[in-house]
Amino acid sequence: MRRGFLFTAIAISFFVVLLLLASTSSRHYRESELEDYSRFVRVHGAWQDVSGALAPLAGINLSRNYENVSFADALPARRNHTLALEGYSAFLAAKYAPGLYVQFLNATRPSSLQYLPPVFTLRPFGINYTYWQSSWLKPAVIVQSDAANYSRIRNASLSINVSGLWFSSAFNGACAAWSGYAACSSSCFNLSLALYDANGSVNRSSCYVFNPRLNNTLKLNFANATSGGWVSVAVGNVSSGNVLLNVSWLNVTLATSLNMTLDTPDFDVTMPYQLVVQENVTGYSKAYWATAG
Amino acid sequence: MDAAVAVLVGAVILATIVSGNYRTSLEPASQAKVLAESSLASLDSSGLLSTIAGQSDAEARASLYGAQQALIPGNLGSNVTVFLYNYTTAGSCPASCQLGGASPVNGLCLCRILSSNTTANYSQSDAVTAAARVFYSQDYAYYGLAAIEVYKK
Repeated sequence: MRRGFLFTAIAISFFVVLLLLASTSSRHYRESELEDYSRFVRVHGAWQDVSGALAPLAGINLSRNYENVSFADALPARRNHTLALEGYSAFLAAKYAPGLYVQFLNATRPSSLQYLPPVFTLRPFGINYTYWQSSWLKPAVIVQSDAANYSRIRNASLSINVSGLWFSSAFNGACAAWSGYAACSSSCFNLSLALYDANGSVNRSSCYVFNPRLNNTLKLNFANATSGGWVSVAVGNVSSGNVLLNVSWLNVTLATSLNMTLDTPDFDVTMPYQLVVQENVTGYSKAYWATAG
Repeated sequence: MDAAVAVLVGAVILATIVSGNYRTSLEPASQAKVLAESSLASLDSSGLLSTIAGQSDAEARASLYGAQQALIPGNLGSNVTVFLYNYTTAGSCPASCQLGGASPVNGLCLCRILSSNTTANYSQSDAVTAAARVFYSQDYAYYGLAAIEVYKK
């Protein structure tokens, strides 16, 4: 009887030790998983955090939801965006999380943020929202798109708000007012255009279906008692190539809002340089095109 | 009878060991860490961090406190501090941004420190985790660093 008890007790003890080992091993495995997860949260969170300030630094209110992306901009640049980006680089270097390496790459070379161009790319379509000569001074808004990707934009709407000046003549929104216009029958680009002046008057173009292979241009004059200027909206521009929309002006201060509806929600607004975030100790990292919205 | 007693003893030992090992030591910290990170992300994406840059200290404190009440579960406390910096290439900081001294450090001048806490009855040793997030307030050209500490009684 006693021998049976001892045998059972020893067997159970071995069994318990075995379970203890399995339990300890499982705990270590789970802790390792949690450490990996914490590392992922830290690096991925830091990457999104640093990236998230790019649109405000560029002076753009950028929003996207489902199939829509909207760029609200002030033109020409009312702030020194190069200085703002330089400050952001200094701020990250001095104040950001210790133990993390944060770097922007131009191609494969590290670069200070202020030297990188202001190009917002709708990936994977290669549609760019940028400025004339890629200048942070924002001398003109350019939307570039390869002709093959025109159809990825279902609709676009552009509103232009002019400060300090008002329409100097009656507005003609008919297609006949657009120079270079010809009716479009296939692969057309739909753009609805609204213009506001300092008096709050609004004029909307009744012409909204364009052939993007032609250069369709509408030029409008604005004036006040002492000065005048103009705003030009060009849709399609064969000579410059791949220009879908060009908003330029002279002696005018603008607030613009460009909204594009894409044919799929599966897109990102990125900038043409990579952002690398790496944990110094473990080397765990994330490197991807800087996402602006 | 003896075998039954041995089995019972073994089962009790086993249950004790398993229950003691079921929860790993990192889990509460990880949960608090995720909570801290996601709370700051919410404050940022909602625009609140940029907005408080234009508010008075009292308004900013009230805004932060309300957000903390909404984001942090009742069994936890939190302390949020927001540092606002200005960047300058001049040799001195503007008069309104001299909390860190009259001379910029790395071009940065500390302009404001805004804070709010829901941890009146907590001690420093109660802190579970901390997280930080950066943002840029384009209306005021401030570079912001928001830091949160999460406390558990």
